[in-house]
Amino acid sequence: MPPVLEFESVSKTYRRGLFRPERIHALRDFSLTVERGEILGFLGPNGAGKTTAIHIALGFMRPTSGRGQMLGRPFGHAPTRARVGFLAESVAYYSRGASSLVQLYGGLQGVPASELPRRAHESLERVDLLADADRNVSKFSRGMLQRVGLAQALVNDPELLILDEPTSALDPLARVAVREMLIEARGRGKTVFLSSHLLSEIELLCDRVAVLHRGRLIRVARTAELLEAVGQTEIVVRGANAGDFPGAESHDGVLRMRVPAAEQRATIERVWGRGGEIVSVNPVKRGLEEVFVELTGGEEKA
Amino acid sequence: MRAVLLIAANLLREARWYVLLMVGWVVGLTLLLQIDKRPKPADVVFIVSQEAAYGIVLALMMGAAAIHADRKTRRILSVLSKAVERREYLAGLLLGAAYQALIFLAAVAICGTWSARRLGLPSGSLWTFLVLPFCGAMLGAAAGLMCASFLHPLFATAASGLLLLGQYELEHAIAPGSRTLPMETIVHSFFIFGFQPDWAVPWLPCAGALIEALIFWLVASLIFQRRDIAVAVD
Repeated sequence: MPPVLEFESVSKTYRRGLFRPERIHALRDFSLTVERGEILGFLGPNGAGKTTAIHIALGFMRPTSGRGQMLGRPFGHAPTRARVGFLAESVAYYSRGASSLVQLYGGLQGVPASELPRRAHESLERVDLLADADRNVSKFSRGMLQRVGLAQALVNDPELLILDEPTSALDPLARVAVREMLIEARGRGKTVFLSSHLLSEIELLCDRVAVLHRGRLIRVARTAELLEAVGQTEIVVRGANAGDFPGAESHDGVLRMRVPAAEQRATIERVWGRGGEIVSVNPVKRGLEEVFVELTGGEEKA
Repeated sequence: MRAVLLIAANLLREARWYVLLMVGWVVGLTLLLQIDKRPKPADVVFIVSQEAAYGIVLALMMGAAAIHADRKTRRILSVLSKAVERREYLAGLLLGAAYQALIFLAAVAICGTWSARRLGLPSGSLWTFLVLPFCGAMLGAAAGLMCASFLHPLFATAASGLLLLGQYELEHAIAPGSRTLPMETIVHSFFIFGFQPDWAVPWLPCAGALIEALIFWLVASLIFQRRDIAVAVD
């Protein structure tokens, strides 16, 4: 089975400026494969080329070199987009009622006219906007617009969801709802390509993470692998003397220390030898933020 | 085809206040004419011809501005991320501009008929006269759209205006009165229309205008297909 989304050595260069044009390399030799049924987190600092990659996949731009395919068809193949749901970052919508807007986009996706009202109703229900279905979206807050954006992306029951910052304007409760929705979509065999600045969200949701930096893909790995222990163990101890364990943090009589995995056994025996009690022993995991900063050299956040 | 109709209807909906304003202007001008207790037939002819010419200009401007308006607001991304070919998108905009021209020219026809009847002029010929400006409006919108596929709307409006008037001037200079290109016949009709009862629709120039509009749309599609419609925001 072909991958759902595949970039093969895609590069994109464009010129900026009229009199002294400057060549911008938005993407350089970018290759990435997104497999069916996974949620792939797409990370990178501002200007890394994430949106460019998404725009190329959807046919808004043509790559300077390289190629790719989406759902088995080359990038830019319009009928294939009927099987894709897309939410753009900071997109504006036509000024009309939310339900009418979702129906318009559903119609453009080829959803039969007889099914449109039901599909729009279901999509708006999923993003908790049913109560505002008849309100003009021009009166909506940014968070509500983002939810309408999600509703229009879901109206055709897509196989592939491409979401560019889907929750940046949402409140915590709505974020949880979107997260659950995406997990449920994955459960139904859908694929999600998720570009987000919210690293905690990527960490919670994504099966794999791809990190883009200055137009180059610098790391693709399973999320768990990326966050895995760095060869260190955290040991939490009660009833031991902090002075016996240099470097340990003490709080309310509980010591917390990080030791190399190879010294774990010896440390535990030392604790027992000094009358201490082991509360927990866990491999140290890094946060995605830490990994991200390490990979991108501590520049801007995603 | 469904996508084309949806985009056209959406464009008309988006421009509804503008269209309403233009219809209001036609109605207002007609009412203004009625203030004069004894309006002259020449005034009615002048107003109707002038409004018909404006119909072409308005369609041209609408065609030249439509792509830019969608790009500026980034609404184009929400349309072209759907199962819509770029040529369908352009056809939708063209049809939307045609709807607007049709509504505007229908208002001109209704108001003109009312004025003509008050003066005892044969109003039936007005409807047949307006078929040609309508085809001209389609041609204007297609020219505007074609130029806007690679130019800023301001330059696209100027370029498409020059393209259409250039045709008229060229034919006028090389073979005056030959009526080979539709623009010549369209412009000429504004000068000769006078509610003649035997006014016939010049079908050949009408068909010529529509074929020319089709060619402009095809060229616009070819150009627009090769253009990046969004620049990266990141």
